[in-house]
Formats: sequence, C-alpha cells, structure tokens
Amino acid sequence: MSPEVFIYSTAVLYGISTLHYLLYLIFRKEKLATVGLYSARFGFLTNLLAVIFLIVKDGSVSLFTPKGAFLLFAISVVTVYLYFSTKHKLSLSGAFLMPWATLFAFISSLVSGAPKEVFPVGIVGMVHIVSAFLGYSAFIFASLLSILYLIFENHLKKKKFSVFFQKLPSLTLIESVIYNSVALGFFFITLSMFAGAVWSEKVFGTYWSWHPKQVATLISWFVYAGIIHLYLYGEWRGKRFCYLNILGLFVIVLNFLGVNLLSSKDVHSFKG
Amino acid sequence: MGELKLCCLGVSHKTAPVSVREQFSFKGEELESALLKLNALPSVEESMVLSTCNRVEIYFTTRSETSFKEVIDFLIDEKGADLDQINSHFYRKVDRDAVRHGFYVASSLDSMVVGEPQIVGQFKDAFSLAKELGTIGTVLCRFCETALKVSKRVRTETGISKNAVSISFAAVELAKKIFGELHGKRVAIIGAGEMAELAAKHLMTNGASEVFVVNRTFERAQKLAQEFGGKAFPLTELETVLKMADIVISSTGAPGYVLTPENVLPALNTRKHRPMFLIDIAVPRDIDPALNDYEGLYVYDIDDLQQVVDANIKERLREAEVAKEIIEGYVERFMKWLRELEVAPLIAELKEKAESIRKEVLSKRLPKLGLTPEQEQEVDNITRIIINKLLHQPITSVKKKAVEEETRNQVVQIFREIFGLGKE
Repeated sequence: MSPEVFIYSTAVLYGISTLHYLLYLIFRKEKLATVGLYSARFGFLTNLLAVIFLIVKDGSVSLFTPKGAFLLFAISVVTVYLYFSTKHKLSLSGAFLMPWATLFAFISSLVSGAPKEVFPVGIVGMVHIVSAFLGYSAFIFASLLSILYLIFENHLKKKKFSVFFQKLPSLTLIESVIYNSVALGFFFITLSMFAGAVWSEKVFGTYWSWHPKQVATLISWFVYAGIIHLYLYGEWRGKRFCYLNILGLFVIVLNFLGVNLLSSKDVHSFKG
Repeated sequence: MGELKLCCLGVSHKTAPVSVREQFSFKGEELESALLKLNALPSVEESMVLSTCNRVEIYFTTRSETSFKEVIDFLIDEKGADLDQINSHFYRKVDRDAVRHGFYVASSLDSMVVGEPQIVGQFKDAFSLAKELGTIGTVLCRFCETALKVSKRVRTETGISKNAVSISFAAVELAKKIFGELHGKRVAIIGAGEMAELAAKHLMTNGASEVFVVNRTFERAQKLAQEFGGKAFPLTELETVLKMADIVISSTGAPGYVLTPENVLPALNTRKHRPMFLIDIAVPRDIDPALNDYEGLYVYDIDDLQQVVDANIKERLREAEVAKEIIEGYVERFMKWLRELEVAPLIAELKEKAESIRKEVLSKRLPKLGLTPEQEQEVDNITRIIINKLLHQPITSVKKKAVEEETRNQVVQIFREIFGLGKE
C-alpha cells in the first residue's frame, strides 16, 4: 500500500481532533474532548503506518526527505501529547497542540519525498533523527503548556470562570508536567547530538564541523540547560519558569526556520 | 383488559412546597405497609415507591383504562388528602414519559442540586425494598436496573457531578486548583464562624494536614482547635501563624481589614514562591483586596466563592444536556423491550398452535407411508423447517409493529384475528 493513503488519513484525523478540541474550548462538553482524544489516537496509528510504509517503500533514507521529516515531526508531537495528557487529564492542551500536528501532517502530504543525496542511515542515523524530533516536540509541548499555565494563573487571579478555570486540574500539576516535558526534551536532544556526531564521523569522517545546524542546536541545548538550571537551583518557578519556556520556543522556531527551512546547503535542510 | 402501561404518579420540589411533600412522604414501616397495600389494588400489577425529602413518586404498571384513579384514591385514603391537592401538585406520567422521568431522577437530572449523588442510593433502596416485598416483577425490575445503569454511565461519562456547588466545597476546589494535592498543606482559621469551620473540615478530609486557629478570645480558639486536633493562637501571634499557613480562612467580626500587606507580605517572602490562598468569608471583609495583586497570593471573598458556585452550576446544567442525549437512547430501547414483551405471549401461542397442528397431521398421516425411521425423522425435520420459515416473517413483523405507537393496537388485534389466537 502506498504511504500517501495513510498520510492523508493522518492529516484528516488530526484535523478532526483539532476541530473537536477547539469546539471543546467553546462548548466545554466532555464528549467533544473524548472525540478529540480518540481521533488523535487513531491518527497516531495511521501516522505510524505512514512512517512504516514510507520506510518499506523507499528505505530509511526516506525519513530524511521533507515528507518523511514532517511525518516524523507530526508523530513525535502527538506522542508527547498523548503520553502526558492521558496521564494527567490535560485534554485542554489538545486544543493547543493538535493544530501543530495537523499542520505537519498536512505539509507532509504536499512536499516532496525524494531524497537529495543518498547516504547510509543505519541505527545511529535513526536514533539521531527520531530523538531530535521527540526532543523538539517535548520542548514545544512544554512551551504550549506554559502558555496554558499563564492563562490559567491569570484567570484564577482575576476570577474569570473560563474554560481554563473550569477544566484545568491545578497550577502545581501543570508546572510539574512542564518540567518533566522539558527534562525529557533535554534528554532526547542530548542523545540526538551524540548520535549525530557519531553518524557524522561515519559518513563525513568528522564528529563536529560547525555546520549552521550544529551551532544552532548547541545554542538551543545551552538555552535549555540554562532553563533547567534556573528552575532547579535559581527558584525560577511558576510564571517565571513559563516565560523561560516561551523564550525557549522562540529559540527553537528560529533554529528550525533558519536552518531547516531557509538554507538549502546543509544536510538538515528540508528544501527538496 | 387494555395494554400494559408503566405509570408514574409523583410530587417533587419542582411542583410542591415542602409542606406538601412531607405530608405525602413515606418513612420506614409506613413505606412497607403502603407498598403492600398499593400492590393489593386490583388494577396495579407491579409497584414501587421512591420517597425522599425532595420527592415522593409511585411507579406502577397497570392494564386499567383509568390508570391513575385507584392509586390516587389510595393516596387520598392513606394520607387524608383531598383530590384538589393531588391534582394541583402531582404529575402523572405514562410510558415513555414515565420511563424518561425515572431515568432522569436516577441520574440526578431532576434533583434540586443537579448531579448530587444521594439520589442514586435512595433509588437503590426503593428498588431493593420493592424486590424484598415482591411488589415488582419483570417490567419494573428491568426499569430499575436500566435506570441504575444509565445513572452510572451519566456519572462517569459526563461532568454532571464534578464541580463543587456549595461555598465550602468551592473553597476546597479552588485550593486544589492552586496547590494540586492538599496533602501536607496547613490551614489557618482566623476568627470563628460556622462557614470557616465547615470549609476547614472539608479541607482536612481532602488531605490538609494541620489546622491553626487564631481568635480574639483565646478560649474560643482553643475549643475550636481541639475539634480539629490543631493548635490555638491568640490574635497577637497572627504573623507567626501566617508564616506557617498555606491556606487562610478569615471570618472575624472586625470592622476593618485584619490581613493587610503589612502582615501578609513578610509571610509571603519566607515562602520561597510557594503560593498562598486567602479566603475571606467575613462581611465586612477581613482581607485587603489589594493583596490579590501580589504574585503568589490568591484572595477570594464570599462573592467570588459564590460566583464559582454559580459557574459550576451552569457547568452542570451544560453537562445535563449531554446526559439527556445518553438517556434518550435507553428510553427508546426500554420502550421497545416493553412493547415486544406485550406480544411475547401472542407469539408463543402462535408457535404452540403451529406445533400442535404439525404434530396432529404427522401422527395421522405418517404411519400410513410406511417409511424407515430415518425417513420419518427427515419428514419431521422438513415440516419443522417449513413452519419456522412460514412463521418467521409474521413474527418479526408483529414485533416491529408492536413498537410503533400509532398502529400498535390495531396490528396486534389483526394479528390475533388472522391467526385465530386467544381472545382477550
């Protein structure tokens, strides 16, 4: 079967999920959130099948095409979301996260799936790319939750009985989920950098070559190391921690836009 | 004899004041004897009584044309009421409406506070009493079982009983929104009011670990502290207490603010960014509202709490709409079952009749053919198959038609006449 079928179903299912979560924000009916969750789960399955069929069809190297990359990005964002939201009843965060997943799946269905250069991928390459996407997804989730936290905190203070006030469990819980998500992201990014270095040595004969992407990732790594450090030892808790995470999101978006989307020379470029 | 009807005659907080409800309520042994008397009425087949402080409802099945008459007469005798009173306060519901109403009641949609859980237990009690006394049979038994099943689904699948709808519970809910778990949280009560006591009690049952009581008269503080197993402090120690407390409930009769930036901020600064929840249930207010502007301080006064309650009630009503959708499906299925139950004896009779004709013909004709036992067995099977196939269509049709409201009676009548079944 062609992976395209699964990519389209994924985009549609994520779209349905997004729509229901947004309606949930407006109408606050639990049923809507349930539909949102189940569509996201089914979308996750078709997304997984799409990735598998893509690899079966064109080999692991197909993950390094724009199509494969966006597909991986979508599934990692949803993985992180499903992991944390099912554990902590944070269905509200779906309204913030699923639009991203939908967008990525949609882009994946449009862009090219032809690899630019063919080089051996192997296990190290797989670890590099999968952990990179999981790491960035965890950071994105953390920053979206931070926005949620700030809105929730504000409404608690202003006594605004909004959907956030009603449906979110507690400030403390959200804060701890944000921290867990950041820590998870940091772990995966670190792993990805190591795997990337090893892989680079195999293919290009050098561990580190000051590529734009390497530099940008190193900066992101230091930013998040700083955020974690401030949280643990500098008592940057609550709202201040959330502001830091939103700053982190900016760094990631700049990193992604600047290197993966705009430059076309780097191996990390998504330009076909 | 008419067709079987499921009826509900009842009075509730929606139709009558408490003075009327208490007049008709049944308690303890009175309930048992009333249920037995009710069941002895000639027209009543099955019956059960649900009697709580907010409602008295009699569910019964009957085939009588004037379904409610005997039951109303019974109420008049039993409770010495007059007909006018019953006419003006009681509602009468039949079949679909009665079933739907029963399901709403069991799911707490009809309760004074929508979603309150007590009614489920009361409904269960009414059910088990009727079962014990043998006043209910197939129909009401299934009705109750379905009602309880529906109520469970409604509770788990909708948010109908999720949020707090009283001021003291709203305080607990807010504390949870701020702190998450309340385990290890310390509560300070300043002044002594009933509401403050109640809120502190709820906080304790939800995991708060310690209570400090501050009062102008130290004896009063000691007495209250003893109740909670907490510590008492005189008013002069207020600042010390504030430094230890995560949640402060203030309800003094003081004319001015008791908690001001002067005494709260030093406490806040020792807390290293852990938030503090200040609840003001005094009128005039005890807590300077300006404190709410400081990072990590959440000040709620009595009006704010009331607003939380109002918002939660709205939320429950919203969820009640979802619950009604769920219930409608069950009402539909129950009514279908009830109607099919009505034609079940008819179908059984038809099958019996066919079987007796088959047997009669076979016993007369079969011996004349001189067949081997195997062949006789085969003929027997063939005739069975013919009868089953022949009857399949009329049986499914009459079952289907029995569910439709308008044509039901006619169809059943015609079915009887065509097949020459028992004249009722």
